[in-house]
This record gives sequence, structure tokens and C-alpha cells, in this order.
Amino acid sequence: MSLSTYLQIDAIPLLTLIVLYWNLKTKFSGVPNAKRFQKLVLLVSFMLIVDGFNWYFTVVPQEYANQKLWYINILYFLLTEIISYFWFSYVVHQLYGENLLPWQKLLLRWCIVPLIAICLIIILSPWNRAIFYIDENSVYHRGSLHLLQVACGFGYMLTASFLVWKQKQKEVLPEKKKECNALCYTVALPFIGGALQIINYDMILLWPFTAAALFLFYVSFQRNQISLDALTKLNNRGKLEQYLLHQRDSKKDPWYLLFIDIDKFKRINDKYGHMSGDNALRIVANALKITLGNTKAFLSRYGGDEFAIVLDADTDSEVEEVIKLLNKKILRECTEQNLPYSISLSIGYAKYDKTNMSSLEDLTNLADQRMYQRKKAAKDASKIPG
Amino acid sequence: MNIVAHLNIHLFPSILLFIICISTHRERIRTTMDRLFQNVLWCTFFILLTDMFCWILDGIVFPGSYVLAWILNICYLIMSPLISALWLNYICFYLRQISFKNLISRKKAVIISLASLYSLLVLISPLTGWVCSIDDHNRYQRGPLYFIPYIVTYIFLVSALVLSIYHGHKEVLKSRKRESYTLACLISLPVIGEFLQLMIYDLWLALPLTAISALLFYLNMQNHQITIDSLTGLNNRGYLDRYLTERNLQNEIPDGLYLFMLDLDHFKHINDTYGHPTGDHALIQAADILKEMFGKTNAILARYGGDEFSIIKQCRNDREALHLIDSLNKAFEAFNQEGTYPYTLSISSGFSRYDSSCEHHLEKLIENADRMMYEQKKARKKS
Repeated sequence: MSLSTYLQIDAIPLLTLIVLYWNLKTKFSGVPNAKRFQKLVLLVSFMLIVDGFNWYFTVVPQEYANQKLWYINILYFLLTEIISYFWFSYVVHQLYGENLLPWQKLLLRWCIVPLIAICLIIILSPWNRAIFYIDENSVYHRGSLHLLQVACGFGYMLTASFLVWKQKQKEVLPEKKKECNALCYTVALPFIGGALQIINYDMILLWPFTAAALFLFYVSFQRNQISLDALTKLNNRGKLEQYLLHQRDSKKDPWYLLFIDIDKFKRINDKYGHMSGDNALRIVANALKITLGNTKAFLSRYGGDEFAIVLDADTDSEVEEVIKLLNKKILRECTEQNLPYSISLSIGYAKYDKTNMSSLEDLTNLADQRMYQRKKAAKDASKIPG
Repeated sequence: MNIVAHLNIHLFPSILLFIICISTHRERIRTTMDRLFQNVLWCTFFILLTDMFCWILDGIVFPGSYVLAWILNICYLIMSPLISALWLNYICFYLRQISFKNLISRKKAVIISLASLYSLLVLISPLTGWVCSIDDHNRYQRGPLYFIPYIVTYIFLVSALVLSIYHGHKEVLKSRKRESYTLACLISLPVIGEFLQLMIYDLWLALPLTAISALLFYLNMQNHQITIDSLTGLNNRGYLDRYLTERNLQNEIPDGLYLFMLDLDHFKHINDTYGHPTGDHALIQAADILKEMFGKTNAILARYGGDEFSIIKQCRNDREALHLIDSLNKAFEAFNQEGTYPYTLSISSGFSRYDSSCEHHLEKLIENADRMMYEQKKARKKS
């Protein structure tokens, strides 16, 4: 292979990662964990450059080839370990966020020890020749402890995947499950690339495939940003519209659309400020997640103080049951948090079955109308003294 | 060049494009533009694969290899101009909402006959060897007319580039102008790649750079979804929050920056009496009035949520801000006087000035504007 080929192999993935980095920086700066993702992208970009030089020094005859090979290989192995550790750390933060107990945090901090140890061994390679060495003819050889470096990198990756797998068993929301899947898939591509590279030494695929994996992960990361409402972490209206179309075309029959409106939300907002209003929205969203999380219901924020749910149910009484549960949950939440205002919901629903219903618009309108009727009824009832 | 080298070069862009294709496929296609984009993506993906196999089989002899090589090469030569034509078509639609489908039938006929002429030229190559030929060792050889596919491809790409630059130049609305120039930048990548590949024989940059360009198009589209409110086409609340916090952190907010909060009066009433679709329509009308007033200025327009809008704009002093609100009210009155719709629109508004004293209290900024707005609303209700 010629020099220009080597340049191309790493240049295109590098270009891709630069684009991703720039995009993450400008568009997702406020998103939690985006910074960690950014760093990961930066590290892999750096790795691609090192990888390119490594091949270049190995293949093209050089002056001072011996020293150059020593330096570049040390850098290469260091980066490999650091990238694996960063992936591990990213996954842990993505899974548990800030919900870690103190002892878990401590344990997490100790996880860096293998990384530091292996890094020291790598840096001292010219003296201990444990991981690799370059002989007098500038030829690269594996050292006696070469497997240690592989084990450390793999260890971090596999532990991360194991944690994801364990967490997936616990999650109830389908969106969360999808996120876990994305975290799992991402590791597969570098493994395939690495395997191919082991089979044929000339296939320089490990790091380009890692770059592709980062892009794949970016796609799911971005989809979450697009389809989730930032405040409540429920699906947003755009996603609901997509889901309704999907539901209409599916075989399921019948199903229900529920519209939920917080009573006197405007008053909470005006009297206690926007912050309280946001809090009220979060309370309702959480109640929805807890009551309906492990059913197949689709939860979304429709906009303002309105929520919409798509529910698989056969009869009206099933829906009424769900509504009862929901109201109970919210009442309990309000008393627990000692709020100065009370939250009550007006809920309207409509049934979709293929024989009677003509369009989604009719369904939406019907559910909406019934919600307003209930709201009005509730208002009238409260006006009657006694 | 051997097989492995071509795998190395082409596998990554193929995977990249495949991921993009799949992820756009999973989203439900809503507009003609999405569909056009998807067609371009899939075609680019397939040509990448074809190209890879062309190179891998180059110089390898086995039973049937000669026929296979011809099939692959002919596919490649016909698809390559087709794809740049699809890109041009997509750009035309993006900029002017004109695509091949909308052309009058005479123009269509001309384009189709030119295309079939070109295809014929390529198809008879096994007999004539004009464009290319394949020798006894199953190697690709350039024919005397080898440059024709390059030139045709190039003409389409360059016209797409020229078109987007020309449009950017002509456009008055700032956001549209920026979009056109972005398109021009994106389309220039394959142009550069194609050029380099023609000049330097062992650089295979044309298709990989096209893949990068597709990536940029894709990200551009997705970013649009993240920052834009889908109903009104204004920026969404997330964008506004990010804009303010980022500028605040970098101390980039210039003096005399004003935040305006607007609230549609009686929106709930419109929603309740005429239903949600009409309510949505009212919001779109209100957004259009704002766009018309501020489209050519530096102001940032956003839908803050529900029936609330916000504007960020630089003003010299409070008087100018008040004047601005005055002209806004007038614009809404003008809309009402036209009387095309069953409802009337009016707004309550408030503003607050950003100065260095409230540096770390963006919440305050919004709150102040909000309070002023509610006071106005209350006052109106009383009168």
C-alpha cells in the first residue's frame, strides 16, 4: 500500500469525528454527559492520528526510525487504555447519573487504579519490555506481558457492557431500554474491526470502526434529544404525532388516546412563579411514569400543561381504572411534598377502533372535547356551595 | 493497490452511509424533501459498494470474472452521473421547491434523451472500448473517451454549487441566506474530491468525501429538528435557553440586549371555541407576523411554549423597546383588520434589559419580562 492510501484510511474517519465533535460542542453543550462524549470523540480522533503515524513509520523507511517507533507505540498503547477507561466512565455516568451512593462513588474512583498501573508499565516499556519492544532493526515485537494490556482494555469494555445488561433488566420505560441497547451495540463495531485486523494484519480497521461506532452512538444520543421533552423527559409532541400514525397503521385494535390537562395550571404559574409550574409538570410526569411505566403505554407531553397517552386497553372501564390509579398517585405526591397548591387533572379519552373511527384528527378532537367537558363539569361542581 | 487497501478505504464510508440511511429510514418520512434525500443517500451507498467491488475484482481472473467486471463497471459509470444529478435535484428542491417531477414534459424529454444517449455510450463500451475496456488480465483500462463520465458528473455537481451560491447571494431573509451558503459549502466537498481523484490517480477521495458531505447534510437536518419549533418554524425554547446561557458564560452578551416576552391574549378561548387545529393555526399566524417584522434583522425569535413567544434584540434604550412593542401591536391590528379568520389576535408584552448587574441571573431576566407582561395583561382585562 502506498503512503497516500495510509493517509486516506485514517483521514476520512478523522474528518467524521471532527464534524461530530464540532456538532456536539455547538448543539448539545447543555446536555448532561455531552461533555464526556465530547472527550471520547476527541480521544479517538487523536488515536486515529497516532494510528496513521504508526503505520507510516512502520512501512516507510525513516531516519531515527527506532526512536520514532518507540514513542508512537507508547502513545498508541496509552491511548488504547485511556479510551477504554473513558468509555467505561461514560457508561457508568449515563446509567446511574448522580444517583450513586457514597460507597459506590468511592468504588468508582478506585476503578481508575488498573488504568494507572497499566499506563506506568507502558511508559516504562523501553526498560521493562513487558508489553512490547522495538529491536535493533526497528522491528516491533510483542512483550511477555502483552496480554495484560489487552485484558485491561477488554476488562473495562466488558464490565461496562455487563453493567448495561444488568441495568436493562431493571428498566421499565421502553425509551430507557432502547438507550441501553444503543450502549451495548456501540461496543460491537470496534470488536469486529479488531477481529478483522487480527485476521489480516493489513486491514487497518480497529480505529476506523471505533469512529463508526461513535457515530452510531451519536445517532441514538441525538434521537433522544429530538424526541424527548427536556423538562419532563417524556416524549414530545412531534414524537407523539409519529407514534399515532404508526399506531393507526399497526394491527392493534382497539386502543385509547387520553388527554390530560392540569387544572388551573395558569394560576399556579402566575401565583407561585414559573419554577413551581415546572415542578408541577414534573410531578405529573413522574406519576405517569410510575403508574404506566411498565405497561406498553406511550407517554408524551403534548405542550404547555397538557399530556397525551396512547393506551392499549379493550374497554372504557380499564381506562377508568388507570385514571383512578393516576389520581391517587398524584394526591399522595402532593401531600408528601407539602405543596402550597394542589394538583388535579382533567382527563378525557377516546377509543380508536378500525371500524368506527375515520381519522386521527377526529380521535384527537374527541379526546380533547371530552377533556374540556370534564374540566367544565369540575368547575361547575366546585361553584356550587356546600 | 491490493484488495485490502480498497477494503480499508471504502469500508468506513460505506458503514457511515449505511448508518445514516437506516436512521433516516426509521424516522417516518413526511415530506418530499425527506424522500429525495433518502433516495440520494441509498444511491450513494450502493455506488460506494459497486466501486469497492470494482476495485477488489480488478486484475483477478476466475470463471465469469470478465462478465462480472463489465457489469460492475457499467453500473458504476451509469450511476456516477445519476447520483450527482440526484444531488442537483435535491438542492433545486431545497432552494426553490422545484424538482424533476415539476418540470414541463418537453424539458423532461430532453433530459431523459440525453441520459439515454449517455447510457448507450457506456453500454456499447464492451464492443467499442470508447469509454473503457477490460483486458485479458481482467484489468480496467481507460478508453479514449474516459473523461466523459467525469465531465458529466462534474457538470451536475458544479451547477448545484453555483445554484446554491447564487441563491445565497439573492436571498434577503438572513436565515435563508445562511442556509443557502451552508448548502454551497457541503456540495463543494464532493466537487473537491472528484477533482483530486482526477488529478492524482491513487487518491480515492470522491466517494468518501461524498459520504462526509452526506453526513453533514444529515446533521444539518437533525440540528434543524433540535432547535426549531415544528409548528411555527421559530426557534424553540431549548435553543433560547442554550443561546442565553452560552452567551452568559462566555460574557458575550452585549449591552443593551433586550428580552421581550409576548403572550397571545385569549388563546385558550380560541382553542376552546374553535378547537385545537384552529388554535394551532392562530399560533402559526402570530409567528408569521413576527417573522415578517424581524426576519431581516438580527433579532432572535423563539416560541417559548404554549402561546408565549420571546424575542431577543438589541435596542438603544427603553424608549426604543417601547416603540418596538407599539409597532408589534400595530402589526397585529393590521392582521385583525384584514378579517380573513374567525378569530382576532392581540398580544400582551413585557421586556427586560440585560445589563452586567444581573449577570448570573438569567432566570431574573425572564421573570422580569414575564411580570411586566402579566401586569399588562391584568390591566387589559380590567379595562
